[in-house]
Amino acid sequence: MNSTLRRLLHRKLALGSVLVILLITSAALFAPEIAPYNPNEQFMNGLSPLGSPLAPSSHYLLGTDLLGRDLLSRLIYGARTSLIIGILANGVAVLIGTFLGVLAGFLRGPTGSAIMRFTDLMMAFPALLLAITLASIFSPSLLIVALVIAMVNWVQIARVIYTQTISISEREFIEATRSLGASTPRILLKHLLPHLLPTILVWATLGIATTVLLEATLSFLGIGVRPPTPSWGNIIFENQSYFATAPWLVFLPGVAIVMLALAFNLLGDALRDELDPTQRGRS
Amino acid sequence: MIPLLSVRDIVKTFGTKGKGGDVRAVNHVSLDVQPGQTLGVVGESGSGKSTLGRLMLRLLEPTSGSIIFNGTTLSDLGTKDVRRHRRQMQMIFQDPLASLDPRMSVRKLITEPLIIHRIGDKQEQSAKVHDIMDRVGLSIDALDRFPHEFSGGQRQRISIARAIITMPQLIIADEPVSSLDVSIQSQILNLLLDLRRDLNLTYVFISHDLAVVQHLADTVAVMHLGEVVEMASASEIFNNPKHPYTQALISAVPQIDLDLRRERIVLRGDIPNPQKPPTGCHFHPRCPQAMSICSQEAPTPLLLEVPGVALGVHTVTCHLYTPGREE
Repeated sequence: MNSTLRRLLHRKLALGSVLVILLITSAALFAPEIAPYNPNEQFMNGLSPLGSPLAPSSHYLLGTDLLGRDLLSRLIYGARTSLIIGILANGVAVLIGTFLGVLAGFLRGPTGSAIMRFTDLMMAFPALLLAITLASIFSPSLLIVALVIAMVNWVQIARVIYTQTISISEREFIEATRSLGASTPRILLKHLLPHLLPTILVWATLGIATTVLLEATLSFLGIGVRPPTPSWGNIIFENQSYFATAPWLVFLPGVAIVMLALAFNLLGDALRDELDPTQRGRS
Repeated sequence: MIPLLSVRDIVKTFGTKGKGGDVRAVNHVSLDVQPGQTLGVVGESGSGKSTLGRLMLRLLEPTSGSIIFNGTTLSDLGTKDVRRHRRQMQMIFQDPLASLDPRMSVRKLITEPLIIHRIGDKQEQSAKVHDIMDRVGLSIDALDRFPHEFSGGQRQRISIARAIITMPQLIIADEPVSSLDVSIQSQILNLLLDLRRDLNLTYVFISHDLAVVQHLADTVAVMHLGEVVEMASASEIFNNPKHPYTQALISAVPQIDLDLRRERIVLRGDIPNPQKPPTGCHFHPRCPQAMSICSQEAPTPLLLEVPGVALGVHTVTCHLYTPGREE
């Protein structure tokens, strides 16, 4: 694993991704030290005389938002929310999806069908409606929002993992391993899972982007992270009416989301290639 | 002699979803494998020979009938005991690229059987792996490479190493050389012969290639549509084939010696639809010597005397040899 890590750092894109992720993570961790202002403080001089947000200046590096708060500070604090939601919600979704997908794909039969019909049902159900229902039952907190998103997002993962599991378990090396006398847990952990890893990695990284966006949607509908706590998603939605006059208010958190998603995607890609011995050392 | 492996009246049907009805891939097959000997199982594709091999290892559950290995009836065992038994009976597959996990290094692949059966500690395992690598003719520096980095022949050597490292008694080889170049085939066959001698192995050798079977089998069973139609010692089968199907298969083996050139018997048509096997003898629609009874009545296995050979058993399932009907 250490040599995998070392090879990974030799890839330029992967290295860049690691740096971006480290940057965002440290911004989240050390937000109180880094942020120039309190993210929730509305400054008397934070708005123009006409009441519109201020453009970036030496005083407010990235300008102010519609309530006269410092955008840079809000973005730095927002990294906390978005990272926690992105990693926690998506992690839980990947876990649930992988578990159910592998279970259904490996067991097949009535149990497998039952799991997959349930998945189909969940897929047919409008995700947003489900999220709204769940969020209104439980009082919204960061953890609840993350779990709600996980409940919505595991479905596609389960589907993909299910088909992958079926196609891999049909391959001859699985039968060959069984003919050696291997137990089912061994086959699952040592032979099936390593082959699922690329798919899991892609979802684990790709899903972070959609998760951050779904959190933004929920925040917009008032059932996500409660204001004034900033998250990248709710910064966009709060300020969207100023899109024409102060585009940076929407653009900058958008860039932050894209950077985070892209960094995780590229890292996932590189990791997938490095973990596959038949691909190692290419590109 | 007590057989190492006995197959008794085994049947395997596969359900086909929806139309067509069930396929009987293996139909009332009985045979014995003597310790230290090699049983060759031959037949066209679709004859059920691979299914038979998988039934022998209980990789597939038989519909009826039993497999007795070393005095133990495999179908009586729970899954855990079957797994323990697999230490004694291993399989070599046709395509090593498909049957070796592409994400495992050669070291991991060959050590895996030892880990599964909890044989030895780390050091002993490593010593065994080195010993086996030497036996199958692989160099030690291949250990940290991956299956796709090898040639077909080398890959099959890895499979063989994996199969013999637990020191099994029985090896079931399912077309082990069919995916290899002809020049490599003989190397692998010779390796299998050497290993049989050195490790006192017993083989069930499944192949569609009679020339290959002739090279190493002691006994040959000829399968057609799930049934063994003829079984005898290898020399009997090749010098004195009785069943028209066997005769046709043997006539298709290329002969270099011009004097030995036999008339080629060309079979009409493909192997029949196993969902609707022909009535009577399953071979009659393709048989050049079919008689009227063949389409009505299924022949029963006949034991033929082989003059001058002790234990010279020759069974054939064909109406041509029914007493009183001969000639």
